Amino acid sequence: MTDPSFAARLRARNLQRIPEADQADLARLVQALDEAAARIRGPIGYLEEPSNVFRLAPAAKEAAR
Amino acid sequence: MSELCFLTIAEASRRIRAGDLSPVELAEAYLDRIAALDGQLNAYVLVLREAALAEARKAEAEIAAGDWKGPLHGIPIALKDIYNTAGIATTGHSALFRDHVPAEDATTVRLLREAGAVILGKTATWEFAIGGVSFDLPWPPARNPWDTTLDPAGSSSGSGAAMAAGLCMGAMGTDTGGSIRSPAAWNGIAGLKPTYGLVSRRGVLPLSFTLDHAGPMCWTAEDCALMMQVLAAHDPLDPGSADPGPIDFAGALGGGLGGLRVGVVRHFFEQDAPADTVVVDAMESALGVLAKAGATIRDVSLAPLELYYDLCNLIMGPEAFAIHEQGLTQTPELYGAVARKRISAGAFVAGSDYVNALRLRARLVAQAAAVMREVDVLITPTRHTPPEPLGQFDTMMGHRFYTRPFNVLGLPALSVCSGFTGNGLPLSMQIAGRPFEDALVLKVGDAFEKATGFREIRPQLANAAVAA
Repeated sequence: MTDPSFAARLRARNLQRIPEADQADLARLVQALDEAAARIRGPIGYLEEPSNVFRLAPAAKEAAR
Repeated sequence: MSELCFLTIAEASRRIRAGDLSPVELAEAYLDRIAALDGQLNAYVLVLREAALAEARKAEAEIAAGDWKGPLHGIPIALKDIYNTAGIATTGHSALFRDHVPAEDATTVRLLREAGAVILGKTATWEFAIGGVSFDLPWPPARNPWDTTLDPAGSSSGSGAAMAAGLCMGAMGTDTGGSIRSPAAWNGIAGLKPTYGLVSRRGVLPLSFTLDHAGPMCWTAEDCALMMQVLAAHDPLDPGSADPGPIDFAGALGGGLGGLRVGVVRHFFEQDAPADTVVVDAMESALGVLAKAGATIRDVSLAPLELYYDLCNLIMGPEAFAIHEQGLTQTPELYGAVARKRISAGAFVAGSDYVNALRLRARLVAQAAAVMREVDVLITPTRHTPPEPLGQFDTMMGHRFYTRPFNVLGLPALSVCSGFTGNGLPLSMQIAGRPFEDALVLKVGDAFEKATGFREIRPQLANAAVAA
């Protein structure tokens, strides 16, 4: 029997068709991810932000490709 | 002529170029061996017999006409079945993609064809390179040629098993958390996860855009270098592709290891996730071999292994779910249970946690770069155990091993065979380098292999038909 609160999380992500037989393992995996996320939360000062992954190339260089 | 199937690419290439070995004879030997033995291994999901023979005949004619294209000309190669092949099914080992026939080759497949390689077929994988050993898919899971009751590891399981069993001379794998190096370890072969961006992923079914790597799996590090000479090319069609300029992978081999500074990330395999004693013993012996070859050895520290696992999971999860959301919400029954569960979990990672994982990842990259100003390569075991029984290892929540840090960091990492257990099962060592120093990593692996006798030992698959 799926935990009602986990079933609600599945519905919220439109995953209600995931088979009942998967749901205990899936709940364990989600709990592990929740715990991983909690471990890495904390202050990261944006002034020391080490990377900005949004990059553009000059239009002329792109056109030359 | 099964002995042909145990040549390395380097050996076969020399003989082909000299006219002493026919690419057609070589392809026939492999195809016959696959027909005789793959029923025990399930390494291939598709064998391209007629196409491979046609490619071999073309290679033979070109070489005879003086048009030798390089060391892969006429060499039989297998492709993990997530590499797109024009006009040939590319299934991801999934019912969802059973009828997926791409219009174009992946960039890497095109490069291999242009280099004259002969494509033998498509190899088994964990479903979409993430699932695990599964018996609810259209094809059975691959088995380990050292003992067919054992797991070849994954996700490039068929490529690893085929390579070790002499069912191809080189293979392509992919590696998002260890999927080249793990099957390299458990099949006793060499497998390179190149620097992120060095080998194109264009046309390879994606799993995680910022963690996916494509790379070679071969019997030796030298053969990986020969394949990298073809595979490492800037590809504007892969947004992650880098352009570091020409790299002479093969030319960097040899010359000894004098002056090499080796850092052992001992806390990974002694404190963070202890490896089996037999693995640690092999590791210590391997370090002795490197020291004897001229390297200096010291211990170094990176972030705890579990932090790399956290980041890998928090990044891979949502990236994989973004790719598979439509399939998992509309036709989840077309996935096997393991992949369905593993990918669906990524739906529950908050956007802010994903972004913060990427931010922390950049910090770990900077930390590792600082460590690697003091050493030239990092060493760990690849897996924490020898091969385990098929289906026993829990790919969802199982014991940690040592590959994922180098996906998070994007650094080149090579697995080589570091010896054997008392009952003849392969053990492994991982060598990682600075960004785009893949050639140095391969040089260290090659020196280690040539200083030991481990490349002389092959799995013994019983089959009277090929024993002759």
